[in-house]
Amino acid sequence: MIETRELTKTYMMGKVTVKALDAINISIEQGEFMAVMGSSGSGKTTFLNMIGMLDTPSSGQILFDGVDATKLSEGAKVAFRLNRLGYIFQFFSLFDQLSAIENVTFPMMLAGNQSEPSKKAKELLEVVGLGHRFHHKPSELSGGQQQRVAIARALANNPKILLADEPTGNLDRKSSNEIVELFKQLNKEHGLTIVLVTHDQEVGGKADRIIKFRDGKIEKP
Amino acid sequence: MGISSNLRTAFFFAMKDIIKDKKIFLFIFIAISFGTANAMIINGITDGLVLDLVDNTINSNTGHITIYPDQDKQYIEGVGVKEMKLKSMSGIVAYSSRLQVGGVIKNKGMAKSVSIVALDPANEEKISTIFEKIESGKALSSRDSNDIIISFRIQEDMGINTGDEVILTFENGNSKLYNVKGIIHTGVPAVDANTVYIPIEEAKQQLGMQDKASVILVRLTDKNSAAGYKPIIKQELELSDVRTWKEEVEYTLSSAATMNQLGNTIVLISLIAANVSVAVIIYVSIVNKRRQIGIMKSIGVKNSLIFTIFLIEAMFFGIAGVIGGDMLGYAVIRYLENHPFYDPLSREYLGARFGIYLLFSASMTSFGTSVLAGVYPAINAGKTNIIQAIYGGR
Repeated sequence: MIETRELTKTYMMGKVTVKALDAINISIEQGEFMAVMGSSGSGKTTFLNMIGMLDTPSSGQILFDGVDATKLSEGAKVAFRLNRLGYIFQFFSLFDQLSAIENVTFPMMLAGNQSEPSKKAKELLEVVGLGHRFHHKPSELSGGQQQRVAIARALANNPKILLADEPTGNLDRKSSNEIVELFKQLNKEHGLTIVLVTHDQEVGGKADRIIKFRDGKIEKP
Repeated sequence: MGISSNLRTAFFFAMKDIIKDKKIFLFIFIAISFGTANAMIINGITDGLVLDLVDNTINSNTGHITIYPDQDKQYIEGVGVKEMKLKSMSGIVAYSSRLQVGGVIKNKGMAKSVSIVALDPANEEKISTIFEKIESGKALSSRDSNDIIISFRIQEDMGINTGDEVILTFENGNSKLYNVKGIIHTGVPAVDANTVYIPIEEAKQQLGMQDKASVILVRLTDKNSAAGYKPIIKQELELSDVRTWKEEVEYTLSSAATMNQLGNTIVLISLIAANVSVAVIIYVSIVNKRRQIGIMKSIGVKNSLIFTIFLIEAMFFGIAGVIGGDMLGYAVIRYLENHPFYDPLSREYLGARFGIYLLFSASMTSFGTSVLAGVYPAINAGKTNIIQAIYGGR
């Protein structure tokens, strides 16, 4: 489903060239729950941003079902992010001016393909266990609850792929476990492909597969 | 996603944003409101000053139409017949013939050259307000033959008071002792400098002039019809030098144009100042929402939609601020209309004037500049790099 070929990303830090990703070749199958691990600066978040089309590689290819995403127009990338990807960040990335249900409805409004976005949003909030918090603003929710809303928002347009960047990084152990269990449930019940970046061994250990990054390269097992 | 759906989504988000950032809305609202109100008030005051100055000149000195002797003549001849013709013309409310001659006023060993204006007090009351400008003493009446009124500068220069007796020597050499019945201050500098008012019948007797006038002032039912009456009066009275009030106050109007330019410059500067503040507030607000903009992009919001959201916010700020400014400006102008301030120089109450054009021009200018103030930050928001916005730096 997702394949990277010689995926490379370099940055200029002053006069020094830094390779954040160094010729990454990887294949992620449909319905796979994969954890990407590694120390800080190993390139795991850069990798996630590349396959999430938030950033452009310096060289190499990212193939989604055989289509080279690096060659897509900006408009096509936006549409891809909206309709086929769900993104969850470490920090609570909700729009604080919107209630929980409005946060989930917003991507559906953007896509314009839901006849009853509120109904679907309520269903999604119930799936993530927040059926009683529809109209609460993010500031009225705990960190774990905010992350659940972010997950519901990521699922709003029925994406095939869920990308999560340290989603449990700011949560306590209990909330962290609940979120990971939610990911597993979504993976099993809805067949979602999940790529989860973490440096928490316990979280990563719950994935089907773990790949480890070190200095921009995949560490051999 | 269609345009209407895009707009609906942008509008939804923009409104939520505005409701959340109430303080920012309040600051911007105040800045735009005061800028708009300022534009209205300054132009309203300028308009009021000009109209009051023009009215003052018309009422004191020119009437709506002023008839002068032909170029080669010193006086208008056959005034009686001409007055009859004026009387028979519809739309003419009143007229007054004046004689203006030179003379010298003497008192307590002092002498001063003066302009003697002879008029019919009864007619003059219908056409001008000069006798309402009496500073002390009383106005002339048609029965007066030994009384005069002097302008306040003569009083100041020669130390003459009401009730004093002065010798007035006419340009033909005739002299007579007159009682100073009143002191006048019209607010028209040229008139206030050295004018002596005297009843016209007395002047005719002293000057030995009959059926002559230096000028005839005409008052119309509608001053704006003066241009239409000008050729008719020229033809009927067989006189060539007939001027409308607009021609007479040309100098005042040209200085009014300068005042308007000055007013517009002040308005422009204040609008720029207000909207630079607005632009800075919006810009800072957008900078603070940088990460949020990054998140928006990461979930599939187009650059154009982000631009639209912030443009809608700027438009909303503009509309709200303009409405607030319109209300404030209208209230202040109406207040100044009802509570004019007294101008000691012109001896007139000068107030503001409200005109619907003030509302329109201030609203359009202020709204336009407010939206412009929001455009640059909105463009920047749309162009924000996702990674830099979400993670900062790099």
